Amino acid sequence: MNNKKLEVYLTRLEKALGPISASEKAEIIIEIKSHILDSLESSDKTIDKILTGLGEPEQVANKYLIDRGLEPQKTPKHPIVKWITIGFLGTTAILSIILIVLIWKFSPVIQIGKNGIHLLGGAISIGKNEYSLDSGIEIGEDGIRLNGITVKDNKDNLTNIISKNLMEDMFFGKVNKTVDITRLKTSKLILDFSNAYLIIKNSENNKIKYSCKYIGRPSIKEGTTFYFDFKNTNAKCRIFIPKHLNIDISAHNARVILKKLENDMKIAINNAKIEFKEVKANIDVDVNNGKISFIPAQNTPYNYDLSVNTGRVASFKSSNDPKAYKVKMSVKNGMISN
Amino acid sequence: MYNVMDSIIKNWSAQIRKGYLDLCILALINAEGKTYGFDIISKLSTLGIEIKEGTLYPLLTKMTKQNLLKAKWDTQNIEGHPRKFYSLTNLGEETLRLMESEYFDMAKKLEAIKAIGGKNE
Repeated sequence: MNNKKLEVYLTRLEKALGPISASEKAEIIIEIKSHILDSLESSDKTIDKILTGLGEPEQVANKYLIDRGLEPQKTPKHPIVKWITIGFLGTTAILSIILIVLIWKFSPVIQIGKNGIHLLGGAISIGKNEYSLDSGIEIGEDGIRLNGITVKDNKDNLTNIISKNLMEDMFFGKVNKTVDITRLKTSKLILDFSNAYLIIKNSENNKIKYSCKYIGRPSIKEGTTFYFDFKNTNAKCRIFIPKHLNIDISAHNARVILKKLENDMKIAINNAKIEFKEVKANIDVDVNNGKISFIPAQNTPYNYDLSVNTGRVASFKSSNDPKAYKVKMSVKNGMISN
Repeated sequence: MYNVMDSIIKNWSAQIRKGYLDLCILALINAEGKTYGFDIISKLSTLGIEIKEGTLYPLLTKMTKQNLLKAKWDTQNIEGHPRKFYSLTNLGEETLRLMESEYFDMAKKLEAIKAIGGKNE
């Protein structure tokens, strides 16, 4: 037991002597050790008393350091002070984390007002024309763009292609509606999106059903032409449309999924990814910076007219069947895959 | 009242002691010819002069660096652990002589000061 305490003391002393040369350090330590051993032998003092008499190793070391014109080291506070401090800081940290989680879960995280966007109940406010780029988050007039691929469009604007999962946490407005278009005599559907994620499928009846989440102020006009204006909103929509309507899609920063649709379509997209899954219709797609994925339906003839300006195009089996659907796809900067 | 005086005395005492101790240590080492730290502490303690070991050892090392002392490790295994023995160098002896001289001179001057009062009685 004596030896352990002695070793601990001498180790601390060695450490506290820091910058002194190794040989000098060794001499100092041997001399001090020798003194302690002499003390133990010649008196009935306990090792603790002797070490206390010597003083804290740091204090002893400091005297050596000062004599050499070196910086004395700070003496350690009593260990209990250290542990109380750690305990206190730890508790504070845990409480802070709990508080942040509570605020996050229970208060409106994002509010979009006339004056701009307010985050965390007003803790952070961003005005209309301010932009901030922070780990892939861009906040400005157009809404919030998150964590996506930044692409320059033909107007040299930097825009992001949004990734789906993040959008789900950020939405503010919601609309769910089913419209019977028989009375409206709708023949055409125009979808104008910027920063969007669309899934479009056919509905079984003569009704247009849409379910959208968005930030911003979309407008949906119902008439002979059903017009979804989701420009400058960050929208995520699921739209079910009757088979006979013609679709006209214009999207900017979008991801569009068209599943098993039988509607003729004309699509123009900037910075986008568009996926056709077993579509049975005539389509005319124009993509500037983007990717088209076309999965043909089984046992269905298609006649392809494909062009890619800068990029790659997969091989598709074109059919000369007069009943074949005409698929015209053109991509500038991008690829067409299957 | 006493507390104030205590702290004044303590302060003065500490100042005086430092120089006085240096002198005592050199004188003791000179008297012994050759000695080691623990022995210095014991002997001074016997004479009523207390010095903390945490103060002595760094001081001995400093005096060695100042070339007042020379140190030699005793490898002859007395009681199983090595000891560092100190003795005065020539410079150390000279310094001791000058310090003693100065010290006694100061004592004489103090006496002279006290005697001034006496003359006026």
